[in-house]
Amino acid sequence: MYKALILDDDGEQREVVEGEVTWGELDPAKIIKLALCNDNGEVLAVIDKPDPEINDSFQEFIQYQTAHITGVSVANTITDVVAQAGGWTDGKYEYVIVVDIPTERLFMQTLPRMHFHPKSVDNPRNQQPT
Amino acid sequence: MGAPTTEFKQIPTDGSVAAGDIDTGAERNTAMSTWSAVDVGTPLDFGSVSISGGAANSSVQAVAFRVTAFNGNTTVTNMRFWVTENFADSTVNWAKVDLDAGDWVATPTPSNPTSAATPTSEPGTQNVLKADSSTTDLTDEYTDVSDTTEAIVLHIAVGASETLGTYQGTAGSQDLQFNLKFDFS
Repeated sequence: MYKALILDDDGEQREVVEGEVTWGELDPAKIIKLALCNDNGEVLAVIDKPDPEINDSFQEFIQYQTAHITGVSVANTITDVVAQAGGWTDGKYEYVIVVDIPTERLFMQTLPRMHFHPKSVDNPRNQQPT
Repeated sequence: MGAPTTEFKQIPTDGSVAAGDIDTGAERNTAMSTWSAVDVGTPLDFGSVSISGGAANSSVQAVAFRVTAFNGNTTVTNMRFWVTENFADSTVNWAKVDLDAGDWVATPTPSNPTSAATPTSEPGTQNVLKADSSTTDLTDEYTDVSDTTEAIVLHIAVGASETLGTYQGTAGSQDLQFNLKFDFS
């Protein structure tokens, strides 16, 4: 489960909770804090948007979950969600905190950029052919 | 938001599906609805393999994966495929087939398409792509349904020293199942 602190259109801060929002509809630039929670809503980790005065390359929000499906037992069902991750990217790499859901273990990962918010300017689907 | 609803479907390998039948997304969308699901009731059946005369190959089977409901998500990416098994002397081999390019082989064999050993632990990076074998993501293309992945063509090269038994999921006398992990958001 995620909780996020976002900036409303009027600049006020507002907390949103997964289930109340469709992430793709949120402007990634307005998400300023992301909390990774367990199923009970208890916060396991909080990830602040990096201060642009310190490093202005970390501007894009990253959020994804990981599901596991096996070819025998659970095909054609809603899959098992095994991890959730949140963080920011500098456009080249993703710096995320991952929660392993079964164990609630937290770890950090640096990955090549592969997850794109639907409104990301870096999303290949949002780029116009030249 | 919940996780996407997904499915594995078995692509017939009996010659009934020609490359030209599934070389567009629209064709695959229709065809997937007619193919058998891979689940508890209809596992991917590689048949019986006799090694009385030495090493032998199983039958060749093929599957494709897709999202059948995004449940509010927009993208499935970073698909990682591997098998878990406890073979003593056998290898699960796989080939990934670019369906858009018309590379599907109607009656695949252990040597056609060319295969390699399937990973036996979770890969560190994405190793399955969309049906065009170049796009990393599955997205909503057919009213909340995605296009398929590449075809995943599998067979088992059974070694002469393999332990006899039934290899089926976790229900047989020995373990054999395939796994897919994917990210969604």
